[in-house]
Amino acid sequence: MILIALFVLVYLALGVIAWRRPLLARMAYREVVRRRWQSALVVAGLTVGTSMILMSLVNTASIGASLTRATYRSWDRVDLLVSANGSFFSPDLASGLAASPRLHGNVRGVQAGVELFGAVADLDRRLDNATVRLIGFDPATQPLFGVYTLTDGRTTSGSDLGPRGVLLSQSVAESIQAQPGDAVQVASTGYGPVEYRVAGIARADGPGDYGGQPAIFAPLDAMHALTGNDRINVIRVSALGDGQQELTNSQAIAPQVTSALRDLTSDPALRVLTAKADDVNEILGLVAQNGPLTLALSSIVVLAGIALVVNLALALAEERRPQLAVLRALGMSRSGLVITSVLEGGIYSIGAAAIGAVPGLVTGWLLVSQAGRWVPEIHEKNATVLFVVSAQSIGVSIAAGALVTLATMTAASFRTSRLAIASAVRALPDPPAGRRSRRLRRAGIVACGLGGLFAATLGSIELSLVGGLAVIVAVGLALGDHLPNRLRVSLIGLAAATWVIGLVSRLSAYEIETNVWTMILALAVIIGALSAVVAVNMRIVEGLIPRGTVAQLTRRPVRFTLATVALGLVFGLLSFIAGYLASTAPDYARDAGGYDVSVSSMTASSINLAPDLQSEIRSETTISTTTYFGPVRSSTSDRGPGPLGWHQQALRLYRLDDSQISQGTLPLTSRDARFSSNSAVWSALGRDPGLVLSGLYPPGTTVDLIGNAGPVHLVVAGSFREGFLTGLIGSAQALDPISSGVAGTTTLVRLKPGVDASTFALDVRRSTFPAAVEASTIRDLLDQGGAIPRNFAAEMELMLSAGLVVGVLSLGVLALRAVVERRRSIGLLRAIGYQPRQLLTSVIGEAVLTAAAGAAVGVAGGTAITYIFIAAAYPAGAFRFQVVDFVVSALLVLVTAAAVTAGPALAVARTAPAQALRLID
Amino acid sequence: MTGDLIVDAHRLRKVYHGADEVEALRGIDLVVDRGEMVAIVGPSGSGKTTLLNCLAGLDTFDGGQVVIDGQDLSSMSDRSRTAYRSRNMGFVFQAFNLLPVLSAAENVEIPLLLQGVGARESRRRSLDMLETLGLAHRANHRPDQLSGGEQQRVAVARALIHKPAVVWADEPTGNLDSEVTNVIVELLVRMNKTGQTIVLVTHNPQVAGRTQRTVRMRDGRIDSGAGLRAS
Repeated sequence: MILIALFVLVYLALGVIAWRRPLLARMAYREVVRRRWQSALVVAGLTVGTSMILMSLVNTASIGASLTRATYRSWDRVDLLVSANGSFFSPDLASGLAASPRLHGNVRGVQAGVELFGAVADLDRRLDNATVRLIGFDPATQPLFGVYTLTDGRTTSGSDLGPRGVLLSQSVAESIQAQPGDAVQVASTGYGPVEYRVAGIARADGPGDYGGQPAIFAPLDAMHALTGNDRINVIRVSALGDGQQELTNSQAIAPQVTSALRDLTSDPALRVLTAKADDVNEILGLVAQNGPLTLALSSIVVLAGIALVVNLALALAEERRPQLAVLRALGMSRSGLVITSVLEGGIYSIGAAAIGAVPGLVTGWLLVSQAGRWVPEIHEKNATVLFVVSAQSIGVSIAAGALVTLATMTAASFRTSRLAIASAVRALPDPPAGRRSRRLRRAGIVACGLGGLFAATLGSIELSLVGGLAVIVAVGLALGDHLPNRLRVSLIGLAAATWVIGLVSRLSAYEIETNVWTMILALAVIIGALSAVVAVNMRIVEGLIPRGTVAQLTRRPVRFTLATVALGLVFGLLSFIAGYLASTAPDYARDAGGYDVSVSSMTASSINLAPDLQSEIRSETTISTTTYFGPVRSSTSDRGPGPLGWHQQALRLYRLDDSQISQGTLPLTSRDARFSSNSAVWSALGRDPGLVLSGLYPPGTTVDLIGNAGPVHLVVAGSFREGFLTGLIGSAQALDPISSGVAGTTTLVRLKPGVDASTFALDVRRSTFPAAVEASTIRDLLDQGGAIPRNFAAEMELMLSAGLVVGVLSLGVLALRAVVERRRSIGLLRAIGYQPRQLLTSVIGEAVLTAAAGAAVGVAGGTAITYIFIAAAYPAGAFRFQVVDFVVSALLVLVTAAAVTAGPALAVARTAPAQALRLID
Repeated sequence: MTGDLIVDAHRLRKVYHGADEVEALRGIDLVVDRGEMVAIVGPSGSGKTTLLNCLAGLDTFDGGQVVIDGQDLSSMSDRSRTAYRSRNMGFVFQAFNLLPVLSAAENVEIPLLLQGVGARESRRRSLDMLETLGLAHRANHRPDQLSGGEQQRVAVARALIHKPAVVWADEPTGNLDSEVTNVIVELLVRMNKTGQTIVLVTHNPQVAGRTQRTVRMRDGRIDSGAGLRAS
């Protein structure tokens, strides 16, 4: 709202100025409408700010709303949980709580329940699902928590399901193609299997969406048939109110429920969890943390847009320099010139911002529509993705886009208003600065250097970066009289790029991930610095190709630098993403450790494969496996607690025996810095019950869980590639305190040569039906493991391709401006005998060279940052770059650049010399 | 020549700082009386335009003093000099330098609007001025719809509209053929006869011949015609 208010204030101020200075307003307006097509192109080039900001806001709002809605729906009327970390207890506690005078009139309802993880197989369809939640509920109290709505339109509280009648969630029914009346076999870790009948399929609405995951809902009587007793492992409490009020009430009554619980039992394992509030807060925290990431990445495109705006402002000022000088001669102050530029910029900005909302909404929609692929929580909660566009988002993006553009044009106009009237009137270059200016310059250099030194010593990475740059620039400027300009700028540029690369290469992977803005600043500085180096050295190219093509580039290094920066920034981020995707793609030979297939069951402690399948196995490693579901908190070693804090999470625990640990048979891909080798990790794992391995968390992460006897603190000593054994892997001593329950099993299989892994996995699933055994190729698991961040990167790559459009569009706009600006030069060249073809080649060649320079600089900067990130976050040697893909896309951009400048180039070629040489255009 | 001084330059020096320093004006002394029409002539590079720019406050100088209508330009800030120009000076340039986005009438009224004269009054006076110069029928035309002579007449109208103390003209006929040159020179002479002080730089001896005095320059110095300062 502050931004919108600022926008309104700024434009009100511009309105007042326009009213009070009608001459300036008139000139600004006439400049805008004078060449409508050119103005339209300028506006098109400036739309990027609003569109990128709106895309980010829409993305954040949509993901936030989708997740919040899914979270609320997954809990529905359940607000508090009373549990003993999964252990069973007497159902009398539930009835005791319901009758407690402490809760009388304060809660909507109290329900006894059972919650387990398990597997289901449809015996009629011969399909199974190995990972489902088993939700036991009490039909007597279910109406207080809402009734189930079935897909056939009926409603039920569960009392009419009949003996062994259960409800399937829609997602489970779809996964095994179950129909009402089907016989299903259900098992859980240590329980069952038991055969049930599908009494109905619950819509994903109300209690039918409880847990937000594939689930089977069974009345307690039916559930007791599976567990073999009438005990429960959870009590659900519903608070009064609806929506946010219900959430607030639940937090308020939690202490009373705890007191009521303590009246009934002294068992310390039993705890009251504000489960729904924790889940909602976790999601809101995640959204708050991840929202700026999209904004930060899209800011690169905005930065490219700013470079375009500055370039346009400089081109316009250059073109109008004699006019501006006349105005100054006639008595218009410098501020008058600035105001005229600002008024003109205000018109462009507001137009661009309003139009930019459309591509912003389109790209936002494209991004949001794919959210299920790259937002893990959307995927996990199976959330319906909402596309949320608020008037405020549109207002903020228009305001921000307009203000960014306006501020840039204002800053540029201050620069362009400084002209020597006498020279500019006659279109001559400004004379060198006088002695007074030199003194001021020296003072500025000293202040810049000292300020930079001071900033660099303050310790912050951002200040060090900026401070170091200030020192480099100050030293470079101080050398002004002693070194040729080309050498000086080259040295400044190379020193600046080296400084930034050196600085960020000291950061850890976590620091890189959590300092996105710093990394973007670093990328921008590297690309800006390298662009300047390329720009001042373009004269070298003059000797290789016709001078006419590059003369305009070599003679205007600032504008060439800006054009290069605009493209380089986008190329930089694209090459970062391309490098990331290439480097994080699984290396199957390294990451799979020679294993081909993972076969696992969460409900059985052993898996018996048919002899024909056994005969295809070369070797196997069997690991006992359990599932922990309860509070989890993870922290990274270098920056303290992660963003989630305590939250409910399911974690698979893989318990290795002593021989497996001593042999170190699993393929570690990274380890904590304190271990010198993988064998040191395995050795420590056997000795220290506080250490685990993980295919989920990076080395150095600490993981806190609630064990059977209280909190358990574990440290990840080494990691597997994401997807390979996703969970915690450790010794019995490490994992027993968390879960000593009956185990499932995981077998990692190495196949004999010539046996196809996919076929083997499919055969295992078929042959073990209905035991709900999971069998997947390791290759598939590795692909799935890193899929979420890689999908996110791919989405960003797609989105940033829009940035390339901006970059290429900027070349078209600049080419068009160049045609206007150089009209007389073109006329002169035609007059002295230049062929139209030569001028055509010259204009197109200029654009292609600029695009090539942008691509080269962007790839260099982006690759440097990618290398630093990959070296910090992934195993040694992981860095890779998709050379062929990138060369193809760079060539595509060069061709497009040539195409978009063809129009202006043709206009140049067709210009009649006499017409171009006219004094007034 | 020793009556009411409107331009008084004393020991004016201008140096261009670059790889090699060039002293463009070497201690110029020049006076112009109110109502006088003076031509500055000399070979290329002699410093004519530099002198005009320094006298008109378009450029700074490195030594000496310039007093215009009693105001010392050398002691003024850029801001004050700009304001002073808007009130007291008019300009005619060789390349006409009309603003292409504005019509003839709008170009002419610029100095009035810059002085804060109301829009209606500015337009009325602008049209009157164009009428005086025989351009009333072209008032709403843009510069690119006017001939070179018409453009320069509009530029003259713009220079005169606010009744400045001095009109500075830098090669006002340099881009015009002889017929149009005569029209412009006649116009300037006519305005001078109404009491308007005009200082112009020209290469054209015929144009210089129509003025009351010719100042001849060479190598940054005045050879002749500097005028006499009242003692």
